[in-house]
Amino acid sequence: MADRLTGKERRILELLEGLGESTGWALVDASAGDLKRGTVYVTLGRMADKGLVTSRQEARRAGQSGPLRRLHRPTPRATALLALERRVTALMGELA
Amino acid sequence: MNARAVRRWAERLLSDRAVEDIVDPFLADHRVARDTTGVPARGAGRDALQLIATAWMAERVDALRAGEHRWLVGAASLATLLVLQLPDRRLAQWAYVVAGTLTALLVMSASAAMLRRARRAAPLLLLLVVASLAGFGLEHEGARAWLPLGTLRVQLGVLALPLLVVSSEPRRAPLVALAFAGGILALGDSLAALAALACGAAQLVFGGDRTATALALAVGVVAGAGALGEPVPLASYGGSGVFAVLVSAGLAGHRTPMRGRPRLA
Repeated sequence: MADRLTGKERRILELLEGLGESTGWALVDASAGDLKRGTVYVTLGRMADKGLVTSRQEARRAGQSGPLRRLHRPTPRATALLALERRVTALMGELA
Repeated sequence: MNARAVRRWAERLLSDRAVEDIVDPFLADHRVARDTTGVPARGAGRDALQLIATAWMAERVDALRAGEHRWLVGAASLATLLVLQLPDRRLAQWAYVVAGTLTALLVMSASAAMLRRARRAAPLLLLLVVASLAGFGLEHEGARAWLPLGTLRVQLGVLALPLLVVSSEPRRAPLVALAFAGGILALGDSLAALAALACGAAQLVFGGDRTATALALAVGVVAGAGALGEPVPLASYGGSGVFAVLVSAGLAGHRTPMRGRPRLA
């Protein structure tokens, strides 16, 4: 269970908030250079292990072969964690 | 980017789960992006390389946390201590420790199929080692044990010892070890011969168990170096022994059994 989000995890969750369900490739394209294709899939795997995202394979179409794309979405727990982190950041900003 | 080559390398270096959860989605996304735009994505080959390297590192860190690298951690610590004891530490000694640790990590993550291929090739490779030393080996104090490789001189017989750990088939392995020990002893490399005999004995007693063979190799190299009057065992052998022990530790910690496919009744 994750207690804190890393910078990359936070960025991915922020992007997933906007995109809804998304592939790793689409997250990189939407991240304006914050994420890399060479690492985002590993981070998504870690996030799935931590219970921050769930994923499903897209359905295979007729005549389609090869590996299938994997679509990720944030779990309610990840959404709550992100909201909590935002509230804490805002509070810290007010106190500073 | 050649997707088949990427997957083949991923299968060789990563677990099945990592291939399915990390590499396959990348390849699928890459294919869709290429089909959509009509051109391959820029830098996809570099991305694939980085992906495999990152996934490999992540799996190694997980294995380290789970205690799967205990043999390698032990061997690397011992090797470091031995090199630290050397009165005239040289960069080459550390290079062998680093190269041995990295090779061991690679060996640990190699697929069982790859190690099975290595096992089949081991007797031939060991024969090549003896033939290379007989043909091109440098003679020093009556032993033809060193092979010149550019500016390096490597003690090839000792470096090849991990092949005896790979060659773990219970019936044939002791014979392979004995034959290698005989060949290398005829060239005067008594250290490699002693370690090979120790491996053969362990394989005979423990039925080709990799951990037992790797331990016997380490004991054989250390005891052999001590018996031959070396002031600091292992490290004074130009790091070849350190390398062999580290790679053997990696083989001992390999995640899957290498006994081959089960025979049908």
